[in-house]
Amino acid sequence: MSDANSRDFLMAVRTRLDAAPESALLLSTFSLLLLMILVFSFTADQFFTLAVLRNVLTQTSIYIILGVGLTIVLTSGEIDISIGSIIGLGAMVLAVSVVNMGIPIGFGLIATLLVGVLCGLMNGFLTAVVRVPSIIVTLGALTFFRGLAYLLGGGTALVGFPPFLVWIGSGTVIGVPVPVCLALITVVLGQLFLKSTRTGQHIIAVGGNAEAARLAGINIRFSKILAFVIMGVLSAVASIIMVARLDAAQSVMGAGIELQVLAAVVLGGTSLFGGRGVILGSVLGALILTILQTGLLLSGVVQFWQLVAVGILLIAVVAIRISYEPSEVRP
Amino acid sequence: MNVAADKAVEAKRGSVAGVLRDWLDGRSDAASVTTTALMLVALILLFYSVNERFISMRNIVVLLNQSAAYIILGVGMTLVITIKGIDLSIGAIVAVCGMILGILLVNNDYPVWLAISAAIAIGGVCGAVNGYCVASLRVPALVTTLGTMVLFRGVAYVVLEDNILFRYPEELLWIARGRIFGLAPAVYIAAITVIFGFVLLNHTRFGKHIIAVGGNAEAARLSGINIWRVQFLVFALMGVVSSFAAIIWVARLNSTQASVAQGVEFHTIALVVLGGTSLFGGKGLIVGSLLGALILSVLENGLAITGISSFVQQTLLGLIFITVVALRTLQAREASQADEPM
Repeated sequence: MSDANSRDFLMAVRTRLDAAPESALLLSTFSLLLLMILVFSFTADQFFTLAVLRNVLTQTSIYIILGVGLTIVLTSGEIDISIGSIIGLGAMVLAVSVVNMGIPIGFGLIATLLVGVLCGLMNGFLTAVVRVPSIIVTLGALTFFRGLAYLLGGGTALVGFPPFLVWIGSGTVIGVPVPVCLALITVVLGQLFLKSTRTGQHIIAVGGNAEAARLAGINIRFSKILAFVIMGVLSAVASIIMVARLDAAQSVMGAGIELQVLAAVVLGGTSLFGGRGVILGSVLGALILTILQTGLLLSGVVQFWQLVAVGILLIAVVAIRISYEPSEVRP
Repeated sequence: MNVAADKAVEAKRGSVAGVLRDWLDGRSDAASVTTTALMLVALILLFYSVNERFISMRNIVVLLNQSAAYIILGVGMTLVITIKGIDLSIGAIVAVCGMILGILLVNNDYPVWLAISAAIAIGGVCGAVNGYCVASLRVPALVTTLGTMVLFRGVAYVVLEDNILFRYPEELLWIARGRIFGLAPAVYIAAITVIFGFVLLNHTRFGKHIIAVGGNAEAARLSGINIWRVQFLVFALMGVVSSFAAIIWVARLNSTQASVAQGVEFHTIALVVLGGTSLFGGKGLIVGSLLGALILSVLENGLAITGISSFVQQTLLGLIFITVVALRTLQAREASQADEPM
């Protein structure tokens, strides 16, 4: 390739990147994922076995489901750090209704999802209507929901779930684990919702510029509350999968998961300041986190170094990404 | 709107009622602090009515000792939030500083002053890492400190693994267990930190710069303030202050492990917000945070004295926090509407 040709090519790539920052973000995240898989295929012998792959995917599915929700919330310009506690509360509602009270599993699942809706409604109401900053609302909710979970179930593990729930955790549909199927459905629905529905576009607009959105007649309150409700429901779904995988429920379930999910979403290129949500990026971000952890483990690295690696990776990726953004986008 | 206009006119006239209402509206910093103080007094009276032992010399000493570390962290976090930042890594910094103390004092026999200096230096370095990422690399504070939270905690785990280090020298334990005029030295350290933070924020040029950067970074930059320096120093200071908290913690527990002080960051943010510091930057109330820390300690201590189960306690804490913040937000909104041009 001649010099002029390659320059043209670079220019074309750059215009392409400027015109479609989202695909550029996806591309960079995807390259990182490929790079990591490549490295680990050399350092860890068993990395490419079907069992490992399946395990990685099943583990990631919970992060992916939560990541889709958090992407939508961040896109609307808000944040939710109470999701771990919603999971704990959801798990306890499921366990107390199905195990302790003997309610049929179908109703138990519906009750759990309803609790997710209620939690999301509370967060959304306080954020959008009372207008308390969402980080504070969900900080309080984090304590409150976890307290409720403990009140419901106490400190012990509840076991003895019906076979259907166990199937959700460890069954397969045409060879694909059920959690992975659920994650796939969530991603497809989330992507369609955010990109192709009017309400999804409204959420992007509200997060990008709330004042302009208001002047354009968009109902800001509704958009934000809806984002929180979606997050709540998806947290409930995640809690069901977690309980199903362990075949046990505990009040402490999901503690600290919000930070992992936030890291996955930010790795995927979603903006913390609203208006830009990359759902597929969050999927890749979640995969990166799980693969990094599994890969290091299989490479024989002492478990605790994983934490160090995750921390450095997160800051490095975001720092590099920000250095490429046009300066007016910077906070 | 009429009501708001009336209020404004009344306040201008300087009538007693107008001034009082203005005061309670939460328009001035002093008013926010007053509301927080009233909340604290109300809580103390409430718990006193439940159990008379609540206001005993003994319980007050315990309460102050318990809240010393939080007060110190609260001062640092107030500065961080005033520049519109946030620091989730303080619990991990406490763990790293505790790790240094453990290595130097338990595994080796270094003098206590050296170990304390090393812990403070490490705290400063951790804070400087945060400051560098936020100020130079322009990574949002939330992401930076989320990353360093995992990173620093990881370092503590790599070094300490699952070990618990204990049997610290008496000189270190004295910081939390000794008594000067009936109170632990830790309480005096907290008091000095509060005074330092208050003077720094309200009576120095640097403090004015902090408030300016948090209020409107662009305007601050145009008026010649070195934003980089302000952000870097505030995060570094948060790290130093976290090391004080670590020293007090280790001295009180007489032990360290990698998992120490997990979740402390949320507790600290909560107390700063209870104290009336604005999360939107530009308004920091050091005294408010002091009161916020006392409120949280009084709540925990008081609920424990009533004998309610810890599950109910946690639920109540969350509920009270949400209610107070919601009320305060509504109050502030009403006040800002009154300020709007008619």
